[in-house]
Amino acid sequence: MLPRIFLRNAGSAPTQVSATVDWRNQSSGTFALPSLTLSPGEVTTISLGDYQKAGQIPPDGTWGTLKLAYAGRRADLVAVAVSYDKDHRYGLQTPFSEELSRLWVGGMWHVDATHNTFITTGNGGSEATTAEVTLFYNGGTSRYRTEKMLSPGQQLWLDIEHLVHDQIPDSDGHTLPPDTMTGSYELRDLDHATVGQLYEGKLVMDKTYGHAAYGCGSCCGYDTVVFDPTTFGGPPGIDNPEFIHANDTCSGTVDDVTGSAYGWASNNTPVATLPNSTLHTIATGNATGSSLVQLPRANPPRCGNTVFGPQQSVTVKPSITSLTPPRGLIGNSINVTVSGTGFGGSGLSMYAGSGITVTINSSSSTQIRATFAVSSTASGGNSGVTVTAGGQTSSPVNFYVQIPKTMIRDASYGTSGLGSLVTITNGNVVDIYGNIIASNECGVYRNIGYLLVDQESPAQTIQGNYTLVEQFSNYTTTVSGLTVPPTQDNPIVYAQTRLGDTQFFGARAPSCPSGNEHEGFDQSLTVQTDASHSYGLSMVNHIDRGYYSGAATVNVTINTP
Amino acid sequence: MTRKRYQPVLIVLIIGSLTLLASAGDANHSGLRRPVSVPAQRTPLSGYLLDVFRNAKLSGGIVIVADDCEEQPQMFPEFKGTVKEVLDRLASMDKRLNWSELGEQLVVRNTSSIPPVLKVTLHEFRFSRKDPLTRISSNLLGSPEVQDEIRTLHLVERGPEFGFAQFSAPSTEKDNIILKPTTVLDALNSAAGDRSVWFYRQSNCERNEISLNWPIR
Repeated sequence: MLPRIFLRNAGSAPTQVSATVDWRNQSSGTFALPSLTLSPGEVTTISLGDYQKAGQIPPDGTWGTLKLAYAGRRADLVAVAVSYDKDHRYGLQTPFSEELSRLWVGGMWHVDATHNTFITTGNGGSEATTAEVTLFYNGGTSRYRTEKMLSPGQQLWLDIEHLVHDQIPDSDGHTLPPDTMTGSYELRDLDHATVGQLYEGKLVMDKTYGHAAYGCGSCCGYDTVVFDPTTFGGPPGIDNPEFIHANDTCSGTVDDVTGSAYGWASNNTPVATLPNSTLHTIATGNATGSSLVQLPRANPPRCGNTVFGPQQSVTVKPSITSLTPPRGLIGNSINVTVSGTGFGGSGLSMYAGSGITVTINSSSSTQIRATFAVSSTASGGNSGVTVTAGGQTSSPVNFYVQIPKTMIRDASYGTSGLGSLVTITNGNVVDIYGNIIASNECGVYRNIGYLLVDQESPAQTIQGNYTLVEQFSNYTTTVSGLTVPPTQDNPIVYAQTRLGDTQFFGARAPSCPSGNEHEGFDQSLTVQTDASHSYGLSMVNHIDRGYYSGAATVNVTINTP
Repeated sequence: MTRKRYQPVLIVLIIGSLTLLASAGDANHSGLRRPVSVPAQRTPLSGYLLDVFRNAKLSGGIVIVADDCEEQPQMFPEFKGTVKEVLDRLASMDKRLNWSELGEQLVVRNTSSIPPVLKVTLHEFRFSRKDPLTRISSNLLGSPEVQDEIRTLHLVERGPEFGFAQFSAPSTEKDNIILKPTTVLDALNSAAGDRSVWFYRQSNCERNEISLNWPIR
């Protein structure tokens, strides 16, 4: 065979070419050819056989890789390596690859009694890197993996026939089955996840006909290089880690290439800064974050590096973290403290939904004190509260408009809401708060603790200003002259959460009820928020109070529900 | 030596005017001119009157003296008009019905004369506007002058309907009221203020029993 290199300067300027031969026999070595200068359009042929005859390349150095270097534009130098016998009957030729990549995929290998495949990869970069070669076989379900640290310019050679027949174990200790004949392979730069340093070469030999096929895998590039997420919305005063993701067009996976990005910047630093991969929000407003990242582009077989410039739309807006209290009674004015961030921007306003009029009483950048006037016609349930400042509106946080539904016993008072039975002969009647509400009485009484609750599930207690109206029915008594109590309006003020009813039967001392004087009736309740809006509560009590065969009694039984 | 500081005490003095039988009040601000709308209902007279007070947002009192053991329910028609018009209509149904405006308060009774207990004169009566109304009326009826009258008339005073406790804020000096001299009725009206309604009921049954409630507080 007569190995030669065909060179043509297709550029418009002279170019100096240097060539290096990495030869292989039982051993290996490198020989640098003398550099030469090619004029525009000049064609030349270099015979490597001359250097073998001169002993600069061993005569039995039958395989090798060639590395050419020149100064000029891509494709200015046209190079082809050829090896033919002296009759030009048998031979092969291979083109040169200009590409370096982090990943080469899709190459095929073939080895049997009449075929063999050589695969090589080399480090074309300026620093050491780890090259990994993976052979896929058995329909792609099995793999043979080997890796090697390569210095700049160093190569990794795989003679597949040697690996199969001699059962050479891979980096994980696996061997290729002896009957393995074909498969695919990939080359991966393990140390350079984005811009790789590896070049690729492969030759499949047909020993029967002296045919050799050159082929190669495809380099793998990226497209769709973006911030993830592409838009950001958040409150002032936070540090948000940014991510740049790129779509690997070979595998279809999305790779995190944040670590390769540089040139981080924000176009509106009073709103947000982006000095590195951490976005820092400052004040309400809009900004655009950007960075640069150099990646192989997705344009195989060429995968030249491209600088991508992903951008992120940044909106810094107010944020509500809590409403205190988070709920309030329909028809009431409730003082609400809104906590959060970003309230210091211009044009501060607040919206709490239909039927709720908001008055801002005071504000700082992190807190708003406001009065929510909940109309008697407002809808019960959740109502979204938003804050607008600096032209930006926060995400809504719910304020719950409470509708009175029923009363439940306050388990924290007495025994499950029932106070002690108190008998007095000339004493005071004391209510649930400890206030004396009558003196010089003779009889029996009991206080009952209740909580007014709303329509939520689970029900929540209600505080507010309202009138609790008691209505009485189904009255019976053993005492002539006693009659059903009149409907009674009880004003309740906001400070009351526990409601205390006092059920008393008696007379002013020295008169006392006799031993079998008692009365019984049903007690139903209505919450009135104004003259035209009232809500009947589902709870109905039956009350028996007085003396039953001499026994002082105040029984309060919930009939409904 | 510690020097003792004396806080000045602000006393609001209301002189009992003994205007029990006078129909007083500024005609332009009279509660009798207020509009009222009451649905048709079957109820005792006291229940209907309470609805009138609620609907017209009147304060004052209702006096019912029942010769029967129970105040019998009646059928009352729907009414829309002024308070005076509804009282006139009720008076046409029951000739005993009388009413008086005493300052801001309206007192309606189903008797031609005020019950003696309400006419009792007290030399002095003190209360705080922050006190529970039942406590005020308990103290009022427990005064020696009223107790003397109750004993004289052989009345038994039934305990009131206390209802739900009121949250009581601390009294300030301006809440303290001293009436002297005053009548029970004037003291009740003073305690009623501008929104509450008291209800005095006397039944002449097996025993003569009285009760004093605050159905609108």
